[in-house]
Amino acid sequence: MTKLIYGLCDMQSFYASCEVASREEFAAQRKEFDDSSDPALVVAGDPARRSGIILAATPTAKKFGVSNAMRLGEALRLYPRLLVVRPHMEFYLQVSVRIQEVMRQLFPLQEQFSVDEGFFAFPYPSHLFSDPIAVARKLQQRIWDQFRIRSRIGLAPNKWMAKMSNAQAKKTPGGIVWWHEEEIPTLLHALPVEEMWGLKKRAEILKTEFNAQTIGDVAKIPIGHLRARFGVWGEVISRWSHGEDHSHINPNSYGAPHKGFSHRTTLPRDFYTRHEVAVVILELLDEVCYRLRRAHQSGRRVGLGITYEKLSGGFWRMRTLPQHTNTPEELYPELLRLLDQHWDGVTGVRAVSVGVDQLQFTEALQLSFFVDIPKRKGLYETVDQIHERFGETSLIRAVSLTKAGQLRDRSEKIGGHYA
Amino acid sequence: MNINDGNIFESMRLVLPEHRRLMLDWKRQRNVRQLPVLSEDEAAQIHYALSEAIANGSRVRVTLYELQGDIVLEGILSFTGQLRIVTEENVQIIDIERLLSVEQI
Repeated sequence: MTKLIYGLCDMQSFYASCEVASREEFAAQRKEFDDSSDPALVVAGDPARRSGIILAATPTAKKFGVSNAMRLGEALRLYPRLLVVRPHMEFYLQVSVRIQEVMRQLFPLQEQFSVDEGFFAFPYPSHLFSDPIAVARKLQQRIWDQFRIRSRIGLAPNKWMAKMSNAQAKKTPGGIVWWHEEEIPTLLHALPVEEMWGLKKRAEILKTEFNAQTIGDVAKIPIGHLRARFGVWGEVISRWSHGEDHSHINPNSYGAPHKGFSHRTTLPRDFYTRHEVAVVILELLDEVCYRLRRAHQSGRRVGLGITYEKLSGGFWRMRTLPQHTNTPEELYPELLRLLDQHWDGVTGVRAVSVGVDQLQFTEALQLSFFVDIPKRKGLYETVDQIHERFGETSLIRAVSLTKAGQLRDRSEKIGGHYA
Repeated sequence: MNINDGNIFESMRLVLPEHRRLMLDWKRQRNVRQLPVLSEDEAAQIHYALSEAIANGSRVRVTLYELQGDIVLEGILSFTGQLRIVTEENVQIIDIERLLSVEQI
């Protein structure tokens, strides 16, 4: 019977590989099957500061002991001749969408999973894909030929197993692994429980509370026990431990309308005063409202997230409003109320997030006796036009010029790193 | 989303808003209509039909490529350095690059 084989293809040291591949001085020396032919290069969050964090490192840099999330100063102590470059997020994203397009050309059933990973599926046995390993190799070769980036591919009977076999492919010469259905108990059950992808802290609980060392041990735990401890996740854990997964591939995964919009920022220092935190809240809210307006949507529930100093502790609280809105004037007072209710006003604030959900499309305008709503709508349309034409920082609120303002700094970054 | 039915990976991924926007822009660009490339036969046939229609002053139906969808015009052709069509409403210049077909009516 013809079934689908699922694959997960991920790029090796994606950000670092993008940097190496785009520098012609390394082109002649690089070999596809010898990653030591790459220079020892790292992408560091802020190369000017030794306290900056390593975001990505080539395998050659890793051989010197350099690892992701390490401080730059420490990495330079390990290998002083390290090539250090700043991030170019926009470039990585541009490369990312093109690599995903190459995957889609070979496999129409494709779904991007992260910036450097994509799932795909193809029928087997079939005439078109008669040799799964050869098909995977074709993809790997195309990515190398077009982008000079190495990739690893795990093939398996479902998505979760593809993710697990991909982890194996990273340790395998050639970088391609195919897990057959009948091999799954032996291959999967021998792995330590920490390697069960997607469980996060739950893996630790399986170890300490259930005394499970391997995935095979997890498979022996009765599903009722798992359900009692983890709720619905108990069923997922049990299913995965038996090598099963029900996820399909959704080629239109990113086309679905948003369920909500949110923005988060980590502050450069701890904020201690209400008015400073309020400035950041307003800036984030403006961005959320801009995206709502672009999507022609408005929301009924507003949420505020605060993360405390040392990035430990905090809260996420929401408030439901009597009607849908997408204007900062209506949402800002609600956010301040949430802040006053849930923040003690003393603990330092290190990260703030603002979200709006329970969306609906706004075709109609809710008029008001007290505010000239059409005028306000016109104002925001003008503001949006100015921003789209002249950039986000061409027109800003005066409070964004105060020391607390993060907008100008944020506008130069994507995902917190230099664009 | 209920993690128990459907695509659990959709609820577990983190995507930067800039990345999502780029993916959707890319998809939109990919779906934009492309000017079809005519085969030699088709091009020769258009050439023949054009010269005949101009010489005889006969009514034709021409199809032109447009981004939003092809447009069809009916009328009489003339050529004086530029190809023009005289329809019932007006006279229009025809861009030969966008010409997809010419038929006698």
